[in-house]
Amino acid sequence: MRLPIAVGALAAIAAGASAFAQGISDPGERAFQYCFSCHSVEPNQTEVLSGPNLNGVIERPIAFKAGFQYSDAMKSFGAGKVWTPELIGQFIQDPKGMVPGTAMEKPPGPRNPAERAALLDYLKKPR
Amino acid sequence: MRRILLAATLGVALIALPGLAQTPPTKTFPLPNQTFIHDVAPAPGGLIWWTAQSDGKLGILDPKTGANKFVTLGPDSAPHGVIQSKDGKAWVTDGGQNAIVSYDPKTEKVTVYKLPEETGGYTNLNTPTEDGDGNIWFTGQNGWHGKVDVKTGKVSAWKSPKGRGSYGITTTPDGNVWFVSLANSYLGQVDRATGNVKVIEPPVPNTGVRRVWSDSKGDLWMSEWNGGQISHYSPSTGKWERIPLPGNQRANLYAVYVDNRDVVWVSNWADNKTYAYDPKTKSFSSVPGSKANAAIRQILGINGAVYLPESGNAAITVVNTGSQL
Repeated sequence: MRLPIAVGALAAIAAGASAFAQGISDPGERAFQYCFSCHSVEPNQTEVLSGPNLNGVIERPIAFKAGFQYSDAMKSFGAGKVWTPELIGQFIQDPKGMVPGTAMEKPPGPRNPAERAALLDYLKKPR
Repeated sequence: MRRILLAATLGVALIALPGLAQTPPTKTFPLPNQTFIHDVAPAPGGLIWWTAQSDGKLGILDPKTGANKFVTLGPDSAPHGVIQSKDGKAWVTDGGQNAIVSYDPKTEKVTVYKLPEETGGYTNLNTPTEDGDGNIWFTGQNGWHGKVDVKTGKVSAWKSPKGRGSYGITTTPDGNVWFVSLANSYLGQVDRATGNVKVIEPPVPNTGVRRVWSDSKGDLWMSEWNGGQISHYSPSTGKWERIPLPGNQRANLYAVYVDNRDVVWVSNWADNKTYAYDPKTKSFSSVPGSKANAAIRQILGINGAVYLPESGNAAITVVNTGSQL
Protein backbone atom coordinates (compact mmCIF):
# COMPACT_ATOMS: atom_id res chain seq x y z
CA MET A 1 0.00 0.00 0.00
CA ARG A 2 1.40 3.37 -0.95
CA LEU A 3 1.79 5.97 1.73
CA PRO A 4 0.72 9.23 0.17
CA ILE A 5 2.56 12.48 0.63
CA ALA A 6 0.80 15.70 -0.23
CA VAL A 7 2.89 17.60 -2.72
CA GLY A 8 2.11 20.96 -4.27
CA ALA A 9 1.81 21.36 -7.99
CA LEU A 10 4.96 23.28 -8.69
CA ALA A 11 7.43 23.13 -5.88
CA ALA A 12 6.89 21.56 -2.54
CA ILE A 13 8.98 20.27 0.29
CA ALA A 14 8.47 16.67 1.33
CA ALA A 15 9.38 15.91 4.90
CA GLY A 16 12.26 13.48 4.93
CA ALA A 17 12.01 11.24 7.92
CA SER A 18 12.82 7.58 8.05
CA ALA A 19 10.15 7.27 10.73
CA PHE A 20 7.66 7.80 7.92
CA ALA A 21 8.20 4.26 6.74
CA GLN A 22 6.19 1.49 8.27
CA GLY A 23 6.98 -2.19 8.30
CA ILE A 24 4.95 -4.34 5.92
CA SER A 25 3.47 -7.31 7.77
CA ASP A 26 1.40 -8.93 4.98
CA PRO A 27 3.76 -11.45 3.36
CA GLY A 28 2.05 -11.01 0.00
CA GLU A 29 2.41 -7.24 0.05
CA ARG A 30 5.99 -7.65 1.22
CA ALA A 31 6.71 -9.99 -1.70
CA PHE A 32 5.02 -7.51 -4.04
CA GLN A 33 7.70 -4.97 -3.13
CA TYR A 34 9.89 -6.76 -5.70
CA CYS A 35 7.32 -5.73 -8.32
CA PHE A 36 6.15 -2.44 -6.82
CA SER A 37 8.41 -0.01 -8.64
CA CYS A 38 7.15 -1.05 -12.08
CA HIS A 39 3.67 -2.48 -11.44
CA SER A 40 0.51 -1.42 -9.64
CA VAL A 41 -2.40 -3.53 -8.46
CA GLU A 42 -4.62 -0.52 -7.92
CA PRO A 43 -7.54 -0.42 -10.36
CA ASN A 44 -7.34 3.37 -10.51
CA GLN A 45 -3.61 3.64 -11.14
CA THR A 46 -2.60 7.18 -11.99
CA GLU A 47 1.16 6.82 -12.38
CA VAL A 48 2.83 5.99 -15.67
CA LEU A 49 4.80 2.87 -14.79
CA SER A 50 7.28 0.79 -16.75
CA GLY A 51 5.19 -2.39 -16.38
CA PRO A 52 1.51 -3.15 -16.96
CA ASN A 53 -1.11 -2.93 -14.21
CA LEU A 54 -1.44 -6.30 -12.46
CA ASN A 55 -4.95 -5.86 -11.10
CA GLY A 56 -6.79 -9.00 -12.18
CA VAL A 57 -3.73 -10.43 -13.92
CA ILE A 58 -4.45 -14.03 -12.88
CA GLU A 59 -6.07 -15.86 -15.83
CA ARG A 60 -5.88 -12.67 -17.92
CA PRO A 61 -4.72 -13.03 -21.55
CA ILE A 62 -1.01 -12.30 -21.80
CA ALA A 63 0.04 -8.95 -23.28
CA PHE A 64 -3.57 -7.86 -23.36
CA LYS A 65 -3.85 -4.97 -20.88
CA ALA A 66 -5.37 -2.04 -22.73
CA GLY A 67 -3.18 1.03 -22.97
CA PHE A 68 0.13 -0.71 -22.26
CA GLN A 69 2.84 -0.94 -24.90
CA TYR A 70 4.11 -4.51 -24.70
CA SER A 71 7.32 -5.65 -26.33
CA ASP A 72 7.04 -7.60 -29.55
CA ALA A 73 8.61 -10.52 -27.71
CA MET A 74 5.85 -10.57 -25.08
CA LYS A 75 3.10 -10.19 -27.67
CA SER A 76 4.51 -13.08 -29.64
CA PHE A 77 4.95 -15.28 -26.57
CA GLY A 78 1.49 -14.50 -25.23
CA ALA A 79 -0.56 -15.23 -28.32
CA GLY A 80 -3.44 -17.47 -27.21
CA LYS A 81 -2.16 -17.85 -23.62
CA VAL A 82 -3.36 -16.59 -20.26
CA TRP A 83 -1.37 -15.80 -17.11
CA THR A 84 -1.92 -18.88 -14.99
CA PRO A 85 -0.41 -18.82 -11.48
CA GLU A 86 2.07 -21.46 -12.61
CA LEU A 87 3.17 -19.41 -15.61
CA ILE A 88 3.58 -16.26 -13.51
CA GLY A 89 5.60 -18.22 -10.98
CA GLN A 90 7.94 -19.43 -13.72
CA PHE A 91 8.17 -16.04 -15.44
CA ILE A 92 9.26 -14.05 -12.39
CA GLN A 93 12.08 -16.52 -11.76
CA ASP A 94 13.55 -16.07 -15.23
CA PRO A 95 11.80 -13.48 -17.40
CA LYS A 96 14.36 -13.42 -20.18
CA GLY A 97 14.71 -17.19 -20.17
CA MET A 98 10.98 -17.61 -20.75
CA VAL A 99 10.49 -14.60 -23.01
CA PRO A 100 13.76 -13.62 -24.71
CA GLY A 101 13.55 -9.95 -25.60
CA THR A 102 11.19 -8.93 -22.82
CA ALA A 103 12.01 -5.60 -21.21
CA MET A 104 11.47 -7.00 -17.73
CA GLU A 105 14.53 -7.47 -15.58
CA LYS A 106 14.79 -10.46 -13.28
CA PRO A 107 13.80 -9.25 -9.83
CA PRO A 108 15.91 -10.48 -6.90
CA GLY A 109 12.78 -11.98 -5.40
CA PRO A 110 10.46 -13.60 -4.44
CA ARG A 111 13.25 -15.92 -3.39
CA ASN A 112 11.48 -19.14 -2.46
CA PRO A 113 8.22 -21.05 -3.05
CA ALA A 114 6.59 -19.60 0.07
CA GLU A 115 7.26 -16.03 -1.06
CA ARG A 116 6.04 -16.80 -4.58
CA ALA A 117 2.85 -18.34 -3.19
CA ALA A 118 2.29 -15.27 -1.02
CA LEU A 119 2.76 -13.03 -4.05
CA LEU A 120 0.29 -15.03 -6.13
CA ASP A 121 -2.27 -14.88 -3.30
CA TYR A 122 -1.74 -11.12 -3.17
CA LEU A 123 -2.32 -10.81 -6.92
CA LYS A 124 -5.52 -12.88 -6.69
CA LYS A 125 -7.15 -10.54 -4.17
CA PRO A 126 -10.03 -8.54 -5.62
CA ARG A 127 -9.59 -4.77 -5.41
CA MET B 1 50.92 10.32 -25.74
CA ARG B 2 47.87 9.52 -23.64
CA ARG B 3 45.69 9.76 -26.73
CA ILE B 4 47.88 7.21 -28.44
CA LEU B 5 47.66 4.94 -25.43
CA LEU B 6 43.88 5.13 -25.45
CA ALA B 7 43.76 4.31 -29.13
CA ALA B 8 45.98 1.32 -28.54
CA THR B 9 43.79 0.25 -25.66
CA LEU B 10 40.64 0.37 -27.75
CA GLY B 11 42.29 -1.14 -30.79
CA VAL B 12 40.73 1.44 -33.05
CA ALA B 13 41.94 4.33 -35.13
CA LEU B 14 41.99 7.60 -33.23
CA ILE B 15 40.18 10.07 -35.43
CA ALA B 16 40.04 13.73 -34.57
CA LEU B 17 36.36 14.40 -35.12
CA PRO B 18 35.63 17.88 -36.38
CA GLY B 19 32.11 17.72 -34.99
CA LEU B 20 29.46 15.19 -34.21
CA ALA B 21 28.33 14.50 -37.75
CA GLN B 22 30.45 11.37 -38.01
CA THR B 23 29.86 8.15 -36.17
CA PRO B 24 32.74 7.84 -33.71
CA PRO B 25 34.84 4.66 -33.63
CA THR B 26 33.79 1.96 -31.20
CA LYS B 27 34.98 -1.35 -29.82
CA THR B 28 32.71 -3.95 -28.23
CA PHE B 29 33.84 -6.24 -25.42
CA PRO B 30 31.75 -9.41 -24.98
CA LEU B 31 31.04 -10.44 -21.41
CA PRO B 32 30.20 -13.85 -19.94
CA ASN B 33 26.61 -14.82 -20.72
CA GLN B 34 23.86 -14.77 -18.09
CA THR B 35 25.59 -12.18 -15.94
CA PHE B 36 23.14 -9.45 -17.00
CA ILE B 37 25.24 -6.33 -17.03
CA HIS B 38 23.33 -3.29 -15.79
CA ASP B 39 25.63 -0.32 -15.16
CA VAL B 40 29.28 0.60 -15.74
CA ALA B 41 31.81 3.00 -14.24
CA PRO B 42 35.43 3.90 -14.91
CA ALA B 43 37.79 2.20 -12.47
CA PRO B 44 41.37 3.11 -11.52
CA GLY B 45 44.11 1.97 -13.88
CA GLY B 46 42.01 2.18 -17.03
CA LEU B 47 39.74 -0.68 -15.93
CA ILE B 48 35.95 -0.68 -16.18
CA TRP B 49 33.66 -1.74 -13.35
CA TRP B 50 30.30 -3.25 -14.23
CA THR B 51 27.45 -4.71 -12.26
CA ALA B 52 26.69 -8.39 -12.96
CA GLN B 53 23.15 -8.27 -11.68
CA SER B 54 22.20 -11.92 -12.11
CA ASP B 55 25.44 -13.16 -10.54
CA GLY B 56 25.55 -10.77 -7.59
CA LYS B 57 29.04 -9.62 -8.50
CA LEU B 58 31.04 -6.60 -9.51
CA GLY B 59 32.74 -7.23 -12.83
CA ILE B 60 36.12 -5.70 -13.64
CA LEU B 61 36.92 -5.48 -17.35
CA ASP B 62 40.44 -4.84 -18.54
CA PRO B 63 39.99 -3.21 -21.97
CA LYS B 64 43.61 -3.98 -22.85
CA THR B 65 42.98 -7.73 -22.79
CA GLY B 66 39.19 -8.08 -22.75
CA ALA B 67 39.51 -10.25 -19.64
CA ASN B 68 37.16 -9.97 -16.67
CA LYS B 69 37.57 -10.52 -12.95
CA PHE B 70 34.73 -10.67 -10.46
CA VAL B 71 34.19 -9.51 -6.91
CA THR B 72 31.53 -11.29 -4.84
CA LEU B 73 29.34 -8.72 -3.12
CA GLY B 74 27.40 -10.87 -0.66
CA PRO B 75 24.54 -13.35 -0.27
CA ASP B 76 21.42 -12.51 -2.32
CA SER B 77 23.31 -9.71 -4.06
CA ALA B 78 21.72 -8.18 -7.16
CA PRO B 79 23.74 -5.06 -8.00
CA HIS B 80 22.25 -2.31 -10.15
CA GLY B 81 24.32 0.90 -10.19
CA VAL B 82 28.04 1.55 -9.73
CA ILE B 83 30.19 4.67 -9.51
CA GLN B 84 33.78 5.47 -8.60
CA SER B 85 34.27 7.86 -5.69
CA LYS B 86 37.06 10.40 -5.65
CA ASP B 87 39.14 8.15 -3.40
CA GLY B 88 39.03 5.36 -6.00
CA LYS B 89 36.45 3.04 -4.43
CA ALA B 90 33.48 1.46 -6.17
CA TRP B 91 30.06 2.17 -4.68
CA VAL B 92 27.28 -0.17 -5.69
CA THR B 93 23.52 0.03 -5.20
CA ASP B 94 22.63 -3.58 -4.39
CA GLY B 95 18.90 -4.23 -4.53
CA GLY B 96 19.24 -7.87 -3.55
CA GLN B 97 20.96 -7.02 -0.28
CA ASN B 98 18.98 -3.77 0.14
CA ALA B 99 22.37 -2.24 0.80
CA ILE B 100 25.01 0.07 -0.53
CA VAL B 101 28.22 -1.88 -1.06
CA SER B 102 31.71 -0.44 -1.39
CA TYR B 103 34.75 -2.13 -2.87
CA ASP B 104 38.26 -0.83 -2.31
CA PRO B 105 40.53 -2.06 -5.12
CA LYS B 106 43.64 -1.29 -3.04
CA THR B 107 42.70 -3.67 -0.23
CA GLU B 108 40.03 -5.71 -2.10
CA LYS B 109 37.80 -5.15 0.93
CA VAL B 110 34.03 -5.29 0.42
CA THR B 111 31.88 -3.35 2.91
CA VAL B 112 28.09 -3.70 3.09
CA TYR B 113 26.00 -0.79 4.35
CA LYS B 114 22.50 -2.13 4.97
CA LEU B 115 19.53 0.19 4.68
CA PRO B 116 17.42 0.68 7.80
CA GLU B 117 14.87 -2.08 8.41
CA GLU B 118 12.01 0.42 8.27
CA THR B 119 12.53 0.65 4.52
CA GLY B 120 10.58 -2.61 4.35
CA GLY B 121 13.39 -4.94 3.36
CA TYR B 122 13.40 -4.12 -0.33
CA THR B 123 13.61 -0.64 -1.85
CA ASN B 124 14.74 -1.66 -5.35
CA LEU B 125 17.96 0.31 -5.05
CA ASN B 126 18.80 2.09 -8.26
CA THR B 127 21.72 4.50 -8.64
CA PRO B 128 24.41 6.09 -6.44
CA THR B 129 26.18 9.45 -6.63
CA GLU B 130 28.92 11.10 -4.54
CA ASP B 131 28.17 14.55 -3.16
CA GLY B 132 30.59 17.41 -2.57
CA ASP B 133 31.44 16.13 0.92
CA GLY B 134 32.28 12.64 -0.27
CA ASN B 135 29.07 11.08 1.03
CA ILE B 136 27.16 8.61 -1.14
CA TRP B 137 23.55 9.35 -2.04
CA PHE B 138 21.24 6.84 -3.64
CA THR B 139 17.75 6.21 -4.98
CA GLY B 140 15.42 3.26 -4.43
CA GLN B 141 12.82 2.83 -7.14
CA ASN B 142 10.11 1.86 -4.66
CA GLY B 143 10.15 5.51 -3.64
CA TRP B 144 13.23 6.12 -1.52
CA HIS B 145 16.31 8.27 -1.48
CA GLY B 146 19.08 8.20 1.06
CA LYS B 147 22.66 8.72 2.09
CA VAL B 148 25.66 6.81 3.37
CA ASP B 149 27.77 8.98 5.67
CA VAL B 150 31.18 7.64 4.68
CA LYS B 151 32.85 8.79 7.91
CA THR B 152 30.42 7.09 10.29
CA GLY B 153 28.93 4.42 8.03
CA LYS B 154 25.43 5.54 9.02
CA VAL B 155 22.78 4.96 6.36
CA SER B 156 19.79 7.30 6.27
CA ALA B 157 16.74 6.76 4.07
CA TRP B 158 13.79 8.99 3.34
CA LYS B 159 10.53 8.42 1.49
CA SER B 160 10.65 10.35 -1.76
CA PRO B 161 7.82 12.71 -2.70
CA LYS B 162 4.79 11.14 -4.40
CA GLY B 163 5.88 7.55 -3.75
CA ARG B 164 7.50 5.13 -6.17
CA GLY B 165 9.75 6.07 -9.06
CA SER B 166 13.02 7.48 -7.63
CA TYR B 167 15.53 6.59 -10.32
CA GLY B 168 18.53 8.46 -11.79
CA ILE B 169 20.62 10.66 -9.48
CA THR B 170 23.47 13.07 -10.10
CA THR B 171 25.74 15.62 -8.44
CA THR B 172 26.19 19.12 -9.79
CA PRO B 173 29.61 20.85 -9.74
CA ASP B 174 28.63 22.70 -6.55
CA GLY B 175 28.38 19.33 -4.78
CA ASN B 176 24.59 19.20 -4.54
CA VAL B 177 22.38 16.23 -5.37
CA TRP B 178 19.41 15.92 -7.71
CA PHE B 179 17.31 12.92 -8.72
CA VAL B 180 14.39 12.16 -11.00
CA SER B 181 11.24 10.11 -10.54
CA LEU B 182 10.36 7.82 -13.43
CA ALA B 183 6.87 6.93 -12.26
CA ASN B 184 5.93 10.43 -11.15
CA SER B 185 7.93 12.46 -13.67
CA TYR B 186 9.61 15.12 -11.58
CA LEU B 187 13.05 16.49 -10.86
CA GLY B 188 13.96 16.52 -7.17
CA GLN B 189 16.47 18.84 -5.54
CA VAL B 190 17.83 17.28 -2.36
CA ASP B 191 18.57 19.30 0.76
CA ARG B 192 21.73 17.48 1.84
CA ALA B 193 21.38 18.66 5.45
CA THR B 194 17.88 17.28 6.00
CA GLY B 195 17.11 14.86 3.18
CA ASN B 196 14.10 16.98 2.23
CA VAL B 197 13.30 17.21 -1.46
CA LYS B 198 12.09 20.17 -3.48
CA VAL B 199 9.92 18.89 -6.31
CA ILE B 200 10.38 20.64 -9.64
CA GLU B 201 7.70 19.74 -12.15
CA PRO B 202 8.66 19.58 -15.85
CA PRO B 203 6.46 21.66 -18.14
CA VAL B 204 4.97 18.54 -19.76
CA PRO B 205 3.52 15.92 -17.39
CA ASN B 206 4.11 12.16 -17.50
CA THR B 207 7.20 12.23 -19.67
CA GLY B 208 8.79 9.59 -17.44
CA VAL B 209 12.12 11.25 -16.70
CA ARG B 210 14.30 8.22 -16.07
CA ARG B 211 17.88 9.34 -15.56
CA VAL B 212 19.57 12.70 -14.99
CA TRP B 213 23.08 14.04 -15.43
CA SER B 214 24.74 17.39 -14.76
CA ASP B 215 26.88 19.28 -17.24
CA SER B 216 29.91 21.35 -16.27
CA LYS B 217 27.76 24.40 -15.55
CA GLY B 218 25.30 22.60 -13.29
CA ASP B 219 22.52 22.38 -15.86
CA LEU B 220 20.57 19.14 -15.69
CA TRP B 221 19.86 16.82 -18.60
CA MET B 222 17.21 14.10 -18.43
CA SER B 223 16.12 11.15 -20.57
CA GLU B 224 12.36 10.86 -21.12
CA TRP B 225 11.24 7.24 -21.24
CA ASN B 226 7.63 8.04 -22.15
CA GLY B 227 8.05 11.43 -23.83
CA GLY B 228 10.98 10.32 -25.95
CA GLN B 229 12.80 13.65 -25.80
CA ILE B 230 15.81 15.06 -23.97
CA SER B 231 14.79 17.36 -21.12
CA HIS B 232 17.09 20.20 -20.07
CA TYR B 233 16.62 22.25 -16.90
CA SER B 234 18.75 25.19 -15.86
CA PRO B 235 18.64 25.76 -12.07
CA SER B 236 20.14 29.22 -12.51
CA THR B 237 17.27 30.45 -14.68
CA GLY B 238 14.50 27.96 -13.88
CA LYS B 239 13.97 27.40 -17.59
CA TRP B 240 13.14 24.08 -19.24
CA GLU B 241 13.89 22.96 -22.77
CA ARG B 242 12.89 19.77 -24.62
CA ILE B 243 14.94 18.42 -27.52
CA PRO B 244 13.47 15.78 -29.84
CA LEU B 245 15.67 13.26 -31.60
CA PRO B 246 16.35 13.86 -35.29
CA GLY B 247 13.20 13.41 -37.35
CA ASN B 248 10.92 13.58 -34.32
CA GLN B 249 10.90 9.80 -34.33
CA ARG B 250 9.19 7.66 -31.67
CA ALA B 251 11.64 7.15 -28.85
CA ASN B 252 12.03 5.63 -25.43
CA LEU B 253 15.09 7.24 -23.88
CA TYR B 254 16.56 5.24 -21.02
CA ALA B 255 20.05 6.47 -20.11
CA VAL B 256 21.62 9.94 -20.18
CA TYR B 257 25.21 11.04 -19.60
CA VAL B 258 27.03 14.32 -20.21
CA ASP B 259 30.67 13.87 -21.22
CA ASN B 260 33.66 16.09 -20.50
CA ARG B 261 32.86 18.24 -23.57
CA ASP B 262 29.28 18.79 -22.34
CA VAL B 263 27.99 16.56 -25.12
CA VAL B 264 24.77 14.83 -24.04
CA TRP B 265 24.45 11.07 -24.66
CA VAL B 266 21.10 9.25 -24.56
CA SER B 267 20.19 5.64 -25.34
CA ASN B 268 17.03 5.07 -27.35
CA TRP B 269 15.47 1.64 -27.00
CA ALA B 270 13.01 2.23 -29.83
CA ASP B 271 15.66 2.21 -32.56
CA ASN B 272 18.56 0.52 -30.73
CA LYS B 273 20.84 3.56 -31.04
CA THR B 274 22.71 5.84 -28.68
CA TYR B 275 22.61 9.50 -29.65
CA ALA B 276 25.16 12.22 -28.88
CA TYR B 277 23.74 15.75 -28.82
CA ASP B 278 26.02 18.78 -28.87
CA PRO B 279 24.12 21.75 -27.37
CA LYS B 280 26.64 24.17 -28.83
CA THR B 281 25.89 23.21 -32.42
CA LYS B 282 22.49 21.57 -31.81
CA SER B 283 23.69 18.61 -33.85
CA PHE B 284 23.34 14.87 -33.35
CA SER B 285 25.42 11.83 -34.13
CA SER B 286 24.54 8.24 -33.26
CA VAL B 287 26.08 4.88 -32.42
CA PRO B 288 24.10 1.71 -33.21
CA GLY B 289 23.90 -1.17 -30.77
CA SER B 290 26.48 -3.85 -31.51
CA LYS B 291 23.55 -6.25 -32.11
CA ALA B 292 19.76 -5.99 -32.01
CA ASN B 293 18.13 -5.09 -28.69
CA ALA B 294 21.25 -3.74 -26.99
CA ALA B 295 19.04 -2.40 -24.16
CA ILE B 296 21.50 0.16 -22.81
CA ARG B 297 20.32 1.12 -19.34
CA GLN B 298 23.07 3.50 -18.26
CA ILE B 299 26.01 5.43 -19.71
CA LEU B 300 29.23 6.66 -18.13
CA GLY B 301 32.72 7.45 -19.31
CA ILE B 302 36.03 9.20 -18.95
CA ASN B 303 37.72 11.93 -20.93
CA GLY B 304 37.99 10.53 -24.43
CA ALA B 305 35.73 7.51 -24.06
CA VAL B 306 32.09 6.74 -23.38
CA TYR B 307 31.01 3.36 -22.01
CA LEU B 308 27.77 1.75 -23.22
CA PRO B 309 26.69 -1.32 -21.23
CA GLU B 310 24.55 -3.48 -23.51
CA SER B 311 22.36 -5.44 -21.11
CA GLY B 312 20.59 -7.21 -23.99
CA ASN B 313 23.82 -8.34 -25.62
CA ALA B 314 26.06 -9.12 -22.62
CA ALA B 315 28.64 -6.62 -23.81
CA ILE B 316 30.26 -3.26 -23.19
CA THR B 317 30.78 -0.98 -26.17
CA VAL B 318 33.41 1.70 -25.72
CA VAL B 319 33.05 4.80 -27.88
CA ASN B 320 36.22 6.71 -28.63
CA THR B 321 35.07 10.32 -28.58
CA GLY B 322 38.44 11.61 -29.71
CA SER B 323 38.46 14.47 -27.23
CA GLN B 324 41.58 15.76 -25.56
CA LEU B 325 42.77 13.58 -22.71
